[in-house]
Amino acid sequence: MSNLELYREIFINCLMLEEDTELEELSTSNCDEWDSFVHVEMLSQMEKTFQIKMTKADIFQFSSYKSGIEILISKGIELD
Amino acid sequence: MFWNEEWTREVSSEQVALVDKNGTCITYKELDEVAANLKATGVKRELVFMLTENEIGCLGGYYSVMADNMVPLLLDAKLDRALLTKLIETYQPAYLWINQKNYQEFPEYSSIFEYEGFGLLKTNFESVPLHEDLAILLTTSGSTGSPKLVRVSRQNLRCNTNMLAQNAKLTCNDIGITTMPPNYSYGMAILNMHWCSGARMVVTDATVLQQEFWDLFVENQVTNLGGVPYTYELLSHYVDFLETDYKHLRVMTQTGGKLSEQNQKEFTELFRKQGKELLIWYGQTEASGGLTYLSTERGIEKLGSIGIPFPGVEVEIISENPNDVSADASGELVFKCDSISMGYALNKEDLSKGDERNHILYTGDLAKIDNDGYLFLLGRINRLIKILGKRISLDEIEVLLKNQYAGIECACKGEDDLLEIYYAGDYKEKEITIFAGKILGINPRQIVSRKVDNIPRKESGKIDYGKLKH
Repeated sequence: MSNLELYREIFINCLMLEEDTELEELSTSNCDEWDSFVHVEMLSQMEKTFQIKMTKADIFQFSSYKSGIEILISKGIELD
Repeated sequence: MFWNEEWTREVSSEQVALVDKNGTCITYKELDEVAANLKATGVKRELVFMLTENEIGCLGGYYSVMADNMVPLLLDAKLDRALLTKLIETYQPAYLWINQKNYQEFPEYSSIFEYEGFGLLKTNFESVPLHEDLAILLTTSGSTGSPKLVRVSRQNLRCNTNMLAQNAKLTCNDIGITTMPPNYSYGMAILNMHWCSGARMVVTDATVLQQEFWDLFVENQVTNLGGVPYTYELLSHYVDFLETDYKHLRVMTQTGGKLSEQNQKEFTELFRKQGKELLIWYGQTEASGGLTYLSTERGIEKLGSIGIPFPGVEVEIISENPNDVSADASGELVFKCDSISMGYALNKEDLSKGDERNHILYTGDLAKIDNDGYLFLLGRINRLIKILGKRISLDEIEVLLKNQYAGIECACKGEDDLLEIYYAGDYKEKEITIFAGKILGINPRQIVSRKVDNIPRKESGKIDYGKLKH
Protein backbone atom coordinates (compact mmCIF):
# COMPACT_ATOMS: atom_id res chain seq x y z
CA MET A 1 0.00 0.00 0.00
CA SER A 2 1.28 3.49 -0.80
CA ASN A 3 1.65 6.09 1.96
CA LEU A 4 -1.37 7.95 0.66
CA GLU A 5 -3.44 4.76 0.76
CA LEU A 6 -2.25 4.09 4.31
CA TYR A 7 -3.26 7.62 5.29
CA ARG A 8 -6.65 7.18 3.64
CA GLU A 9 -7.13 3.87 5.43
CA ILE A 10 -6.73 5.59 8.84
CA PHE A 11 -9.63 7.92 8.01
CA ILE A 12 -11.85 5.15 6.69
CA ASN A 13 -11.27 2.97 9.76
CA CYS A 14 -11.44 5.61 12.48
CA LEU A 15 -14.45 7.43 11.08
CA MET A 16 -16.24 4.23 10.04
CA LEU A 17 -16.63 5.41 6.45
CA GLU A 18 -17.39 3.43 3.30
CA GLU A 19 -14.28 2.35 1.37
CA ASP A 20 -14.97 4.66 -1.58
CA THR A 21 -15.80 7.83 0.39
CA GLU A 22 -14.51 11.07 -1.12
CA LEU A 23 -12.15 12.45 1.55
CA GLU A 24 -10.51 15.45 -0.12
CA GLU A 25 -12.84 18.06 1.46
CA LEU A 26 -13.40 16.26 4.78
CA SER A 27 -12.83 18.39 7.89
CA THR A 28 -13.90 18.72 11.53
CA SER A 29 -16.58 21.17 10.47
CA ASN A 30 -18.35 18.86 8.01
CA CYS A 31 -17.87 15.50 9.73
CA ASP A 32 -19.99 14.79 12.82
CA GLU A 33 -18.09 11.61 13.67
CA TRP A 34 -14.81 13.53 14.02
CA ASP A 35 -14.87 14.04 17.77
CA SER A 36 -11.94 14.40 20.16
CA PHE A 37 -11.67 10.65 20.67
CA VAL A 38 -11.37 9.98 16.93
CA HIS A 39 -8.98 12.93 16.64
CA VAL A 40 -6.54 11.38 19.11
CA GLU A 41 -7.00 7.94 17.58
CA MET A 42 -6.17 9.15 14.05
CA LEU A 43 -3.09 11.02 15.25
CA SER A 44 -1.76 8.05 17.18
CA GLN A 45 -2.31 5.78 14.17
CA MET A 46 -0.43 8.25 11.98
CA GLU A 47 2.40 8.16 14.51
CA LYS A 48 2.51 4.37 14.42
CA THR A 49 2.03 3.94 10.69
CA PHE A 50 4.61 6.53 9.61
CA GLN A 51 6.98 6.25 12.59
CA ILE A 52 6.71 9.95 13.42
CA LYS A 53 6.04 11.98 16.55
CA MET A 54 3.22 14.50 16.68
CA THR A 55 3.70 17.77 18.56
CA LYS A 56 1.00 19.75 20.33
CA ALA A 57 1.01 22.21 17.43
CA ASP A 58 0.25 19.32 15.05
CA ILE A 59 -2.69 18.27 17.21
CA PHE A 60 -4.28 21.69 16.70
CA GLN A 61 -3.28 22.00 13.06
CA PHE A 62 -4.87 18.67 12.22
CA SER A 63 -8.42 19.69 11.38
CA SER A 64 -9.04 18.26 7.90
CA TYR A 65 -7.93 15.54 5.51
CA LYS A 66 -5.75 18.08 3.72
CA SER A 67 -4.12 19.49 6.85
CA GLY A 68 -3.15 15.97 7.89
CA ILE A 69 -1.34 15.58 4.58
CA GLU A 70 0.49 18.86 5.18
CA ILE A 71 1.61 17.63 8.61
CA LEU A 72 2.94 14.39 7.12
CA ILE A 73 4.79 16.23 4.34
CA SER A 74 6.33 18.60 6.91
CA LYS A 75 7.72 15.53 8.66
CA GLY A 76 9.32 14.24 5.48
CA ILE A 77 6.75 11.58 4.65
CA GLU A 78 6.42 11.26 0.91
CA LEU A 79 2.86 11.09 -0.30
CA ASP A 80 2.48 10.20 -3.94
CA MET B 1 -41.49 32.84 33.39
CA PHE B 2 -39.44 29.85 34.48
CA TRP B 3 -35.95 31.33 34.72
CA ASN B 4 -37.16 34.50 36.42
CA GLU B 5 -39.63 32.83 38.74
CA GLU B 6 -37.34 30.11 39.94
CA TRP B 7 -34.31 32.27 40.47
CA THR B 8 -34.03 35.95 41.14
CA ARG B 9 -31.24 37.05 38.92
CA GLU B 10 -29.72 40.17 40.30
CA VAL B 11 -28.45 41.36 36.98
CA SER B 12 -29.41 43.85 34.40
CA SER B 13 -31.43 42.31 31.58
CA GLU B 14 -28.80 43.74 29.24
CA GLN B 15 -26.41 41.08 30.55
CA VAL B 16 -25.26 38.71 27.82
CA ALA B 17 -26.51 35.13 28.19
CA LEU B 18 -25.06 33.50 25.06
CA VAL B 19 -22.17 34.33 22.75
CA ASP B 20 -20.75 32.35 19.83
CA LYS B 21 -17.69 32.32 17.55
CA ASN B 22 -19.23 34.84 15.17
CA GLY B 23 -19.47 37.29 18.05
CA THR B 24 -23.26 37.03 18.16
CA CYS B 25 -24.30 38.12 21.65
CA ILE B 26 -27.77 37.35 22.99
CA THR B 27 -28.84 39.15 26.16
CA TYR B 28 -31.22 37.81 28.80
CA LYS B 29 -33.69 40.46 27.66
CA GLU B 30 -33.54 39.08 24.12
CA LEU B 31 -33.98 35.51 25.34
CA ASP B 32 -37.00 36.57 27.38
CA GLU B 33 -38.39 38.21 24.22
CA VAL B 34 -37.87 34.99 22.24
CA ALA B 35 -39.77 33.13 24.95
CA ALA B 36 -42.56 35.74 24.86
CA ASN B 37 -42.77 35.52 21.06
CA LEU B 38 -42.94 31.74 21.24
CA LYS B 39 -45.73 32.00 23.82
CA ALA B 40 -47.57 34.46 21.57
CA THR B 41 -47.89 31.83 18.83
CA GLY B 42 -50.38 30.11 21.12
CA VAL B 43 -48.21 27.12 22.07
CA LYS B 44 -49.52 25.22 25.06
CA ARG B 45 -47.87 23.24 27.83
CA GLU B 46 -46.98 20.22 25.72
CA LEU B 47 -44.14 17.79 25.16
CA VAL B 48 -41.31 19.03 22.90
CA PHE B 49 -38.57 16.78 21.51
CA MET B 50 -35.48 18.95 21.05
CA LEU B 51 -32.73 17.69 18.72
CA THR B 52 -29.88 19.50 20.36
CA GLU B 53 -26.58 20.94 19.20
CA ASN B 54 -24.35 23.56 20.73
CA GLU B 55 -25.76 26.41 18.63
CA ILE B 56 -27.32 29.64 19.83
CA GLY B 57 -30.58 28.86 18.05
CA CYS B 58 -30.87 25.52 19.80
CA LEU B 59 -29.98 26.74 23.28
CA GLY B 60 -32.20 29.82 22.92
CA GLY B 61 -34.98 27.40 22.04
CA TYR B 62 -34.34 25.36 25.18
CA TYR B 63 -34.39 28.55 27.27
CA SER B 64 -37.70 29.60 25.72
CA VAL B 65 -39.39 26.22 25.98
CA MET B 66 -38.54 26.08 29.70
CA ALA B 67 -39.56 29.71 30.19
CA ASP B 68 -42.94 28.97 28.62
CA ASN B 69 -43.51 25.99 30.89
CA MET B 70 -43.45 23.46 28.06
CA VAL B 71 -41.83 20.07 28.78
CA PRO B 72 -38.71 19.27 26.74
CA LEU B 73 -36.84 16.04 26.12
CA LEU B 74 -33.29 16.85 25.01
CA LEU B 75 -31.94 14.43 22.42
CA ASP B 76 -28.75 14.20 20.41
CA ALA B 77 -29.29 15.79 17.00
CA LYS B 78 -27.44 12.83 15.50
CA LEU B 79 -29.63 10.22 17.19
CA ASP B 80 -30.16 7.24 14.90
CA ARG B 81 -33.35 7.99 12.94
CA ALA B 82 -34.92 4.57 13.46
CA LEU B 83 -34.54 5.04 17.22
CA LEU B 84 -35.86 8.60 17.00
CA THR B 85 -38.93 7.45 15.08
CA LYS B 86 -39.60 4.82 17.74
CA LEU B 87 -39.29 7.42 20.51
CA ILE B 88 -41.64 9.78 18.67
CA GLU B 89 -44.20 6.98 18.26
CA THR B 90 -43.93 6.08 21.94
CA TYR B 91 -44.30 9.58 23.37
CA GLN B 92 -46.15 11.38 20.56
CA PRO B 93 -44.69 14.84 21.27
CA ALA B 94 -46.79 17.81 20.17
CA TYR B 95 -43.69 19.61 18.90
CA LEU B 96 -40.15 19.09 17.63
CA TRP B 97 -37.44 21.73 17.99
CA ILE B 98 -34.90 21.13 15.25
CA ASN B 99 -32.26 22.66 13.05
CA GLN B 100 -33.95 24.10 9.94
CA LYS B 101 -31.48 22.07 7.87
CA ASN B 102 -33.40 18.98 8.99
CA TYR B 103 -36.90 20.20 8.11
CA GLN B 104 -37.02 17.96 5.04
CA GLU B 105 -36.90 14.89 7.28
CA PHE B 106 -40.34 15.80 8.61
CA PRO B 107 -42.34 17.02 5.60
CA GLU B 108 -45.64 16.14 7.28
CA TYR B 109 -45.08 18.63 10.13
CA SER B 110 -45.32 22.40 9.78
CA SER B 111 -43.10 25.07 11.28
CA ILE B 112 -44.88 27.52 13.59
CA PHE B 113 -41.93 29.41 15.12
CA GLU B 114 -38.32 30.05 14.16
CA TYR B 115 -35.22 31.38 15.88
CA GLU B 116 -31.59 31.60 14.70
CA GLY B 117 -31.65 28.67 12.28
CA PHE B 118 -33.89 26.45 14.42
CA GLY B 119 -37.61 25.96 14.36
CA LEU B 120 -40.57 24.50 16.21
CA LEU B 121 -42.50 21.95 14.17
CA LYS B 122 -46.07 21.06 15.09
CA THR B 123 -46.67 17.33 14.82
CA ASN B 124 -50.04 15.71 14.15
CA PHE B 125 -50.34 13.97 17.51
CA GLU B 126 -53.14 14.55 19.97
CA SER B 127 -52.21 16.30 23.19
CA VAL B 128 -50.67 14.08 25.90
CA PRO B 129 -51.64 14.81 29.54
CA LEU B 130 -48.65 16.04 31.58
CA HIS B 131 -48.43 16.11 35.37
CA GLU B 132 -48.48 19.68 36.66
CA ASP B 133 -45.10 19.36 38.42
CA LEU B 134 -43.25 17.89 35.42
CA ALA B 135 -40.56 20.27 34.08
CA ILE B 136 -38.27 18.21 31.87
CA LEU B 137 -37.55 14.63 30.80
CA LEU B 138 -34.03 13.19 30.81
CA THR B 139 -32.81 10.12 28.94
CA THR B 140 -31.45 7.25 31.03
CA SER B 141 -29.02 5.76 28.58
CA GLY B 142 -27.00 7.94 26.27
CA SER B 143 -28.02 7.44 22.70
CA THR B 144 -29.61 4.00 22.63
CA GLY B 145 -32.96 5.69 22.16
CA SER B 146 -34.32 3.85 25.18
CA PRO B 147 -37.89 4.91 25.93
CA LYS B 148 -37.07 4.88 29.66
CA LEU B 149 -37.00 8.53 30.73
CA VAL B 150 -36.50 10.30 34.04
CA ARG B 151 -39.33 12.62 35.09
CA VAL B 152 -37.88 15.76 36.64
CA SER B 153 -40.06 18.32 38.43
CA ARG B 154 -39.52 22.06 38.72
CA GLN B 155 -38.58 21.61 42.37
CA ASN B 156 -36.02 18.92 41.42
CA LEU B 157 -34.44 21.11 38.79
CA ARG B 158 -34.36 24.22 40.96
CA CYS B 159 -32.81 22.29 43.86
CA ASN B 160 -30.13 20.66 41.72
CA THR B 161 -29.27 23.82 39.83
CA ASN B 162 -28.90 25.79 43.05
CA MET B 163 -26.67 23.15 44.61
CA LEU B 164 -24.31 23.12 41.64
CA ALA B 165 -24.26 26.89 41.14
CA GLN B 166 -23.57 27.50 44.84
CA ASN B 167 -20.88 24.84 44.97
CA ALA B 168 -19.11 26.44 42.01
CA LYS B 169 -19.81 29.90 43.53
CA LEU B 170 -21.19 31.16 40.24
CA THR B 171 -22.14 34.82 39.92
CA CYS B 172 -23.30 37.02 37.06
CA ASN B 173 -19.62 37.75 36.39
CA ASP B 174 -18.89 34.17 35.45
CA ILE B 175 -18.40 32.95 31.91
CA GLY B 176 -18.75 29.30 30.95
CA ILE B 177 -18.15 27.45 27.68
CA THR B 178 -19.90 24.43 26.19
CA THR B 179 -17.74 21.29 26.47
CA MET B 180 -20.39 18.63 25.96
CA PRO B 181 -23.69 18.17 24.18
CA PRO B 182 -26.75 19.80 25.79
CA ASN B 183 -28.53 16.43 25.86
CA TYR B 184 -26.07 15.09 28.45
CA SER B 185 -27.58 15.90 31.83
CA TYR B 186 -24.25 17.51 32.76
CA GLY B 187 -24.36 19.67 29.63
CA MET B 188 -27.87 20.79 30.51
CA ALA B 189 -26.93 21.39 34.15
CA ILE B 190 -24.07 23.67 33.10
CA LEU B 191 -26.47 25.79 31.05
CA ASN B 192 -29.01 25.89 33.86
CA MET B 193 -26.52 26.92 36.51
CA HIS B 194 -25.23 29.76 34.37
CA TRP B 195 -28.69 31.01 33.50
CA CYS B 196 -29.86 30.89 37.10
CA SER B 197 -26.82 32.98 38.07
CA GLY B 198 -27.26 35.48 35.26
CA ALA B 199 -23.89 34.34 33.89
CA ARG B 200 -22.73 34.03 30.30
CA MET B 201 -22.17 30.92 28.18
CA VAL B 202 -19.85 30.74 25.20
CA VAL B 203 -21.45 28.40 22.68
CA THR B 204 -19.21 26.25 20.48
CA ASP B 205 -19.16 22.80 18.97
CA ALA B 206 -15.35 22.84 18.83
CA THR B 207 -13.58 20.28 21.02
CA VAL B 208 -10.66 20.97 23.35
CA LEU B 209 -8.37 19.61 20.62
CA GLN B 210 -9.25 22.45 18.27
CA GLN B 211 -7.54 25.82 18.20
CA GLU B 212 -10.95 27.47 17.83
CA PHE B 213 -11.94 26.28 21.30
CA TRP B 214 -8.90 27.85 22.95
CA ASP B 215 -9.24 31.07 20.95
CA LEU B 216 -12.79 31.42 22.27
CA PHE B 217 -11.67 30.39 25.75
CA VAL B 218 -9.09 33.19 25.93
CA GLU B 219 -11.00 35.86 23.97
CA ASN B 220 -14.02 35.49 26.21
CA GLN B 221 -11.99 35.16 29.41
CA VAL B 222 -13.85 32.00 30.38
CA THR B 223 -13.97 31.51 34.17
CA ASN B 224 -15.17 27.93 34.45
CA LEU B 225 -14.85 24.70 32.55
CA GLY B 226 -16.68 21.41 32.95
CA GLY B 227 -15.42 18.05 31.78
CA VAL B 228 -15.85 14.30 31.89
CA PRO B 229 -12.78 12.18 32.79
CA TYR B 230 -11.77 11.96 29.14
CA THR B 231 -11.67 15.76 28.88
CA TYR B 232 -9.12 15.82 31.72
CA GLU B 233 -7.14 13.09 30.00
CA LEU B 234 -7.00 15.20 26.83
CA LEU B 235 -6.09 18.38 28.70
CA SER B 236 -3.32 16.56 30.50
CA HIS B 237 -1.75 14.74 27.54
CA TYR B 238 -2.55 16.56 24.34
CA VAL B 239 -2.96 20.23 25.17
CA ASP B 240 -0.60 22.65 26.92
CA PHE B 241 -3.22 23.09 29.59
CA LEU B 242 -1.20 22.17 32.64
CA GLU B 243 1.71 24.33 31.48
CA THR B 244 -0.43 27.43 31.03
CA ASP B 245 -1.79 29.52 33.87
CA TYR B 246 -5.04 30.92 32.50
CA LYS B 247 -5.59 33.78 34.95
CA HIS B 248 -9.25 34.15 34.01
CA LEU B 249 -10.06 30.51 34.80
CA ARG B 250 -11.42 30.20 38.32
CA VAL B 251 -12.97 26.75 38.63
CA MET B 252 -13.20 23.41 36.84
CA THR B 253 -15.91 20.87 37.50
CA GLN B 254 -15.94 17.17 36.70
CA THR B 255 -18.66 14.51 36.46
CA GLY B 256 -19.47 11.56 34.21
CA GLY B 257 -17.47 8.79 35.83
CA LYS B 258 -14.32 8.40 37.83
CA LEU B 259 -11.41 10.71 37.12
CA SER B 260 -8.12 8.79 37.00
CA GLU B 261 -6.17 9.25 40.21
CA GLN B 262 -3.24 10.59 38.23
CA ASN B 263 -5.35 13.31 36.61
CA GLN B 264 -7.01 14.12 39.89
CA LYS B 265 -3.65 14.49 41.58
CA GLU B 266 -2.01 16.64 38.90
CA PHE B 267 -5.00 18.97 38.46
CA THR B 268 -5.53 19.34 42.21
CA GLU B 269 -1.86 20.09 42.92
CA LEU B 270 -1.63 22.57 40.08
CA PHE B 271 -4.89 24.31 40.94
CA ARG B 272 -3.86 24.68 44.57
CA LYS B 273 -0.73 26.48 43.43
CA GLN B 274 -2.62 28.63 40.97
CA GLY B 275 -5.41 29.41 43.42
CA LYS B 276 -8.04 27.73 41.26
CA GLU B 277 -10.65 25.18 42.19
CA LEU B 278 -11.28 21.65 40.99
CA LEU B 279 -14.70 20.37 42.01
CA ILE B 280 -15.33 16.67 41.51
CA TRP B 281 -19.05 15.96 41.36
CA TYR B 282 -20.84 12.67 41.65
CA GLY B 283 -24.41 12.49 40.49
CA GLN B 284 -27.18 10.46 38.96
CA THR B 285 -29.62 11.34 36.22
CA GLU B 286 -32.36 10.13 38.58
CA ALA B 287 -31.27 12.89 40.98
CA SER B 288 -31.46 15.50 38.19
CA GLY B 289 -27.67 15.81 38.47
CA GLY B 290 -25.09 16.23 41.25
CA LEU B 291 -25.32 14.77 44.76
CA THR B 292 -21.83 14.92 46.27
CA TYR B 293 -18.65 16.93 45.76
CA LEU B 294 -14.97 16.75 46.54
CA SER B 295 -13.22 20.09 46.99
CA THR B 296 -9.70 21.04 45.93
CA GLU B 297 -8.78 21.45 49.58
CA ARG B 298 -9.42 17.79 50.42
CA GLY B 299 -8.63 16.48 46.92
CA ILE B 300 -5.25 14.93 47.73
CA GLU B 301 -6.07 13.69 51.21
CA LYS B 302 -9.25 12.02 49.93
CA LEU B 303 -7.93 10.92 46.55
CA GLY B 304 -10.40 8.69 44.74
CA SER B 305 -13.34 9.74 46.93
CA ILE B 306 -16.58 11.11 45.51
CA GLY B 307 -16.58 13.53 48.44
CA ILE B 308 -19.39 14.55 50.75
CA PRO B 309 -23.05 15.35 50.05
CA PHE B 310 -24.02 18.85 48.96
CA PRO B 311 -25.74 20.85 51.72
CA GLY B 312 -29.33 19.62 51.86
CA VAL B 313 -28.51 16.10 50.66
CA GLU B 314 -28.81 13.24 53.14
CA VAL B 315 -26.86 10.06 52.55
CA GLU B 316 -27.17 6.56 53.92
CA ILE B 317 -25.33 3.36 53.16
CA ILE B 318 -27.68 0.42 53.23
CA SER B 319 -25.55 -2.57 54.13
CA GLU B 320 -25.90 -5.76 52.13
CA ASN B 321 -25.62 -7.59 55.39
CA PRO B 322 -27.96 -6.00 57.95
CA ASN B 323 -26.05 -7.61 60.83
CA ASP B 324 -22.86 -5.83 59.86
CA VAL B 325 -22.82 -2.66 61.91
CA SER B 326 -19.09 -1.92 61.67
CA ALA B 327 -18.19 1.67 60.93
CA ASP B 328 -16.76 1.09 57.47
CA ALA B 329 -19.42 -1.33 56.29
CA SER B 330 -20.08 -1.16 52.59
CA GLY B 331 -23.47 -1.14 50.98
CA GLU B 332 -25.74 0.57 48.52
CA LEU B 333 -25.54 4.34 48.37
CA VAL B 334 -28.93 5.89 49.10
CA PHE B 335 -29.75 9.60 48.96
CA LYS B 336 -32.61 11.76 50.17
CA CYS B 337 -32.91 15.20 48.66
CA ASP B 338 -35.35 17.59 46.95
CA SER B 339 -33.54 17.04 43.66
CA ILE B 340 -34.43 13.33 43.49
CA SER B 341 -36.68 12.99 40.44
CA MET B 342 -40.31 11.89 40.52
CA GLY B 343 -39.65 8.56 38.82
CA TYR B 344 -39.39 7.00 35.37
CA ALA B 345 -41.62 7.11 32.35
CA LEU B 346 -41.80 4.20 29.92
CA ASN B 347 -44.65 5.52 27.80
CA LYS B 348 -46.76 8.61 27.29
CA GLU B 349 -49.34 7.57 29.89
CA ASP B 350 -46.63 7.75 32.58
CA LEU B 351 -46.22 11.48 31.96
CA SER B 352 -49.32 12.20 34.01
CA LYS B 353 -47.86 10.44 37.06
CA GLY B 354 -46.74 12.40 40.11
CA ASP B 355 -43.89 11.76 42.55
CA GLU B 356 -43.26 8.05 43.11
CA ARG B 357 -39.94 8.28 44.90
CA ASN B 358 -40.63 10.52 47.85
CA HIS B 359 -37.24 12.17 47.24
CA ILE B 360 -35.33 8.95 47.97
CA LEU B 361 -32.95 7.36 45.48
CA TYR B 362 -31.32 3.94 45.60
CA THR B 363 -28.35 4.57 43.31
CA GLY B 364 -27.26 1.03 42.50
CA ASP B 365 -23.72 2.09 43.44
CA LEU B 366 -21.82 0.27 46.19
CA ALA B 367 -19.90 2.56 48.52
CA LYS B 368 -18.31 2.94 51.92
CA ILE B 369 -17.96 5.99 54.08
CA ASP B 370 -14.87 6.96 56.07
CA ASN B 371 -14.68 8.52 59.53
CA ASP B 372 -14.75 12.03 58.09
CA GLY B 373 -17.91 11.29 56.13
CA TYR B 374 -16.19 10.98 52.73
CA LEU B 375 -17.73 8.49 50.35
CA PHE B 376 -15.79 5.98 48.25
CA LEU B 377 -17.37 4.05 45.39
CA LEU B 378 -16.64 0.33 45.32
CA GLY B 379 -18.64 -0.87 42.34
CA ARG B 380 -22.08 -1.11 40.88
CA ILE B 381 -25.07 -3.23 41.64
CA ASN B 382 -26.79 -2.33 38.39
CA ARG B 383 -25.34 -2.93 34.97
CA LEU B 384 -24.35 0.50 33.72
CA ILE B 385 -21.03 1.68 32.34
CA LYS B 386 -19.89 5.06 31.13
CA ILE B 387 -18.09 5.58 27.86
CA LEU B 388 -16.54 9.03 27.60
CA GLY B 389 -19.08 10.14 30.17
CA LYS B 390 -22.03 8.72 28.25
CA ARG B 391 -24.14 6.39 30.34
CA ILE B 392 -24.76 3.02 28.71
CA SER B 393 -26.96 0.22 29.96
CA LEU B 394 -25.44 -3.20 29.26
CA ASP B 395 -28.84 -4.89 29.38
CA GLU B 396 -30.15 -2.53 26.72
CA ILE B 397 -27.28 -3.26 24.35
CA GLU B 398 -28.09 -6.97 24.65
CA VAL B 399 -31.68 -6.22 23.63
CA LEU B 400 -30.58 -4.02 20.73
CA LEU B 401 -28.25 -6.73 19.43
CA LYS B 402 -30.94 -9.40 19.71
CA ASN B 403 -33.35 -7.20 17.75
CA GLN B 404 -30.80 -6.57 15.03
CA TYR B 405 -29.30 -10.06 14.61
CA ALA B 406 -31.71 -12.96 14.31
CA GLY B 407 -30.87 -15.91 16.52
CA ILE B 408 -27.93 -14.25 18.23
CA GLU B 409 -27.14 -15.04 21.84
CA CYS B 410 -25.19 -12.30 23.51
CA ALA B 411 -23.87 -11.00 26.80
CA CYS B 412 -22.32 -7.59 27.45
CA LYS B 413 -20.03 -6.56 30.23
CA GLY B 414 -17.41 -3.89 30.59
CA GLU B 415 -15.96 -1.12 32.63
CA ASP B 416 -15.84 2.61 32.12
CA ASP B 417 -14.57 3.40 28.62
CA LEU B 418 -14.57 -0.23 27.45
CA LEU B 419 -17.56 -2.25 26.31
CA GLU B 420 -17.15 -6.02 25.89
CA ILE B 421 -19.64 -7.91 23.74
CA TYR B 422 -19.67 -11.72 23.74
CA TYR B 423 -21.94 -13.46 21.30
CA ALA B 424 -22.77 -16.81 19.79
CA GLY B 425 -24.08 -16.66 16.25
CA ASP B 426 -22.96 -16.62 12.66
CA TYR B 427 -21.90 -12.98 12.48
CA LYS B 428 -18.52 -11.28 12.05
CA GLU B 429 -16.91 -9.60 15.06
CA LYS B 430 -16.25 -6.45 13.07
CA GLU B 431 -19.88 -6.24 11.97
CA ILE B 432 -21.09 -6.45 15.59
CA THR B 433 -18.56 -3.86 16.73
CA ILE B 434 -19.48 -1.39 14.03
CA PHE B 435 -23.21 -1.83 14.60
CA ALA B 436 -22.82 -1.32 18.36
CA GLY B 437 -20.60 1.72 17.78
CA LYS B 438 -23.10 3.32 15.44
CA ILE B 439 -26.16 2.64 17.54
CA LEU B 440 -24.47 3.81 20.76
CA GLY B 441 -22.74 6.75 19.14
CA ILE B 442 -19.34 5.65 20.42
CA ASN B 443 -16.08 4.84 18.69
CA PRO B 444 -15.65 1.15 17.78
CA ARG B 445 -12.22 1.25 19.39
CA GLN B 446 -13.96 1.34 22.74
CA ILE B 447 -15.75 -1.89 21.94
CA VAL B 448 -14.35 -5.42 21.96
CA SER B 449 -16.53 -8.07 20.30
CA ARG B 450 -15.77 -11.75 20.84
CA LYS B 451 -17.42 -14.65 19.11
CA VAL B 452 -17.84 -17.59 21.51
CA ASP B 453 -19.25 -21.08 21.12
CA ASN B 454 -21.90 -20.46 23.71
CA ILE B 455 -22.78 -17.97 26.40
CA PRO B 456 -22.02 -19.40 29.86
CA ARG B 457 -25.08 -19.67 32.07
CA LYS B 458 -25.71 -20.43 35.71
CA GLU B 459 -28.00 -23.23 36.83
CA SER B 460 -30.79 -20.71 37.11
CA GLY B 461 -30.39 -20.02 33.39
CA LYS B 462 -29.06 -16.51 34.03
CA ILE B 463 -25.96 -15.42 32.16
CA ASP B 464 -22.78 -16.08 34.15
CA TYR B 465 -20.95 -12.83 33.43
CA GLY B 466 -18.01 -13.81 35.64
CA LYS B 467 -17.07 -16.59 33.22
CA LEU B 468 -16.81 -14.31 30.18
CA LYS B 469 -13.24 -13.40 29.38
CA HIS B 470 -11.60 -12.04 26.27
